[in-house]
Amino acid sequence: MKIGELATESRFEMEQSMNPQNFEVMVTPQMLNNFFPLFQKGVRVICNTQCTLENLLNEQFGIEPEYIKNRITTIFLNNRAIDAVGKTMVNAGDSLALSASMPGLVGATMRRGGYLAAMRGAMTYHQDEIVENKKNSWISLKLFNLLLPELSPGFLKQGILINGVELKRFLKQQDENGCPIKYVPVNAADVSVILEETSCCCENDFLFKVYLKG
Amino acid sequence: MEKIARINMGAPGGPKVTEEPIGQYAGLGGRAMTSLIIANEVNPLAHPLGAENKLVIAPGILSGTVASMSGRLSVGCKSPLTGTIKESNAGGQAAQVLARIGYAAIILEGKPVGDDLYKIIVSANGIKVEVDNSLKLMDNYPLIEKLRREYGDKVAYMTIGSAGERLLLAASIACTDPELRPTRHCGRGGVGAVMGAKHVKAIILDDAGCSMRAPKNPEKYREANRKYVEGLRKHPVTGEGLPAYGTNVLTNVLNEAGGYPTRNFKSGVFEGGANLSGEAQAELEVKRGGLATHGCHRGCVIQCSGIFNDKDGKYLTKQPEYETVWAHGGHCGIDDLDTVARLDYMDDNIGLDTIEMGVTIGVAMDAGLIEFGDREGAIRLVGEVGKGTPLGRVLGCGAAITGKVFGVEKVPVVKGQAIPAYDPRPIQGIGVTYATTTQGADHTAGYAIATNILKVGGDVDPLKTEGQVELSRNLQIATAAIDSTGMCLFIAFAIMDQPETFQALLDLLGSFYGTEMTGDDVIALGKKVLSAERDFNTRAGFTKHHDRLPRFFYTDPIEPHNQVFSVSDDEMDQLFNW
Repeated sequence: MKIGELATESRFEMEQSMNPQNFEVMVTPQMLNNFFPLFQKGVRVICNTQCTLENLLNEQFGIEPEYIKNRITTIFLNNRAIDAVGKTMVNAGDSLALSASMPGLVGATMRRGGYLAAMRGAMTYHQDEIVENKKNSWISLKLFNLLLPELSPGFLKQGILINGVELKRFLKQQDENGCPIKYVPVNAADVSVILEETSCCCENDFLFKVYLKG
Repeated sequence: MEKIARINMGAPGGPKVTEEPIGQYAGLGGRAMTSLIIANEVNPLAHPLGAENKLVIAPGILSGTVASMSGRLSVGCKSPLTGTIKESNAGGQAAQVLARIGYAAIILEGKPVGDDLYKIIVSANGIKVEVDNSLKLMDNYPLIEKLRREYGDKVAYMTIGSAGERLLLAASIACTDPELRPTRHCGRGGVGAVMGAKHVKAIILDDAGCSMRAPKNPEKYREANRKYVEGLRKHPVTGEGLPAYGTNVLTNVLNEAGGYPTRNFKSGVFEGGANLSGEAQAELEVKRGGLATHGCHRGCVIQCSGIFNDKDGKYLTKQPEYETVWAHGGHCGIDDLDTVARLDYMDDNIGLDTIEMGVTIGVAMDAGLIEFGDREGAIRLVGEVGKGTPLGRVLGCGAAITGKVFGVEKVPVVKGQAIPAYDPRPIQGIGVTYATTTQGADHTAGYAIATNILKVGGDVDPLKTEGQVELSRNLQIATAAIDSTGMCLFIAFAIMDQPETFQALLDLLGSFYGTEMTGDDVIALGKKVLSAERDFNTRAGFTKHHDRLPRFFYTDPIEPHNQVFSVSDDEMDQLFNW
């Protein structure tokens, strides 16, 4: 699955308005798995809110409608199962989790628009009033199972928001696991900032972009 | 499979084997066979560990044929854990081998006098029952090694570990997988204790000289199987998700849904969930030279099992299933896959239901025996069960008894059986199934669905509780039917989503017997099984008041949804009204 490229201009505008520092790395496809735990726990992605989930997935993230319909068959927004992507509104700071079809009774129950949706009861998403309308904002995104290898490269290329402490922990963990990430620094100063114990910079967000070699 | 064998373990002079034609049970298999025999022949007031109880072992209708996914074995009895009728099933090789030998069922009856221990050898030459006290109190892994030295590697084994011999209520019956490891268990309901009560330690199944069972219409059967396999392979659940991640693919999703029971059902989200996920497990397995994709029986194309190695790359256990990872993991506040794998091995070895044991350990933690999250403590407690200490005997009898002994108020059981890995408060429908099934709390009892069986359209409001009873009813009917075929329940998604795959299953059944099968036939079979089970339970003394969840599910809201179980008693009491 390829995430389509957003209009470069609108992506650029969002990034500029959030003003994070860039940190870009190049990795081999074999190292992509190292990022999966990040996506399972949740990463922040820049987007506009005050939109439908359909708009977010298709027009902002560039995921094709057929893929959304046939592949992303289990969706949670703030821990509630979603049935109608066209009617679900996304607010700033929301937590979105995307999964492929799940096995079993409960897996079928969680499925978007499934016959067994009634078995969920009140954990089905029910649109509340929009709390905060915010453009150039962010949501927390989780990817599970089959969608991890299919969607994570696109999101990594667009960039995920990560603060300095989390980024440093992540890079250190790759070293400890024997898979140090060979990074392509935006400039040398940015790299040294991350690696030093400079608290005022480590609290800031970085836009962590990952490109696959080859 | 035209004959039934009865082994009277308490016959004067020693166990006696008789064979008879299948008779009134013709056309039945799996759960249909076990439940109808138990319902017809066992006094519902019998003591489950006494001579009146029977242990029925039955392959599915299609087991022993070339049909893919047909390797499930059913074991039935009156359960010593729940007091209800019980059907417990497992994968592994036993169903295929027993079916090819030609037995539609083996029924263990009576109870021996004295303390001799027996093994039973089943082959095309008949059935032999022999004393073998050298097997006493052996656990499953060393037991299989010993039996293999005598009977070889071209047979299938069914065994009980020390738990079954000690008549513990969480005791399972192990079936060997294609690698001859005792990893596939008829786990639920204490069926291992019933086998132990009859002093049977091992059943050796040898199909040497036997052929695959032949269908009435071979050409149609082959074509149906081809379409069936094609359907399973192309579906994202059966063809991709389950092979890649196993059943533990559910951990992340249940956790996200807020339905992952954590620390004895105190919350629906576990902060360590991602560490236990199927995704993390698959990666670890592959990294350590194990397998993330593996079939528990020959003929399986879904291959949702796997092999879990330790840090040094040595075999530790089969890939733990979702329910096992939850029970020993999040339910106990433990987020380490190596600890969970170790506990899974111990359960398999001692011969214990991993769900019951995991829930029991969590209840023990709630009682303060050890802290939530205490990995070594959990291993030590399961070790007590294996040693047969007084504490171990309490724990090995399951969550309900452990809760009573240690004064725990909130014990997640229905009809004495531990509730599995899905909280019923955010997912109300599973609560209906837990409460009402004939089996005690069982997540697989209402597991399967097919669109043209259920005829359930899109007019059930997902925000309301109405309609959930009907859904659970239809699921239970369909599941009872599938459990009778010998088919793995994981075919459910493919047959639900793809009408042509469901039709292929009907064609497999029809062409095997030379008849036409329809969805209505499947419904009728499911209803027949459930009606017999329900009737048995009623005669055993169960009433609608037993079809309820523990009180705290109605009163304690669970985070993050702040929800209690709210399906009314009146609604649930309508479930079996047909």
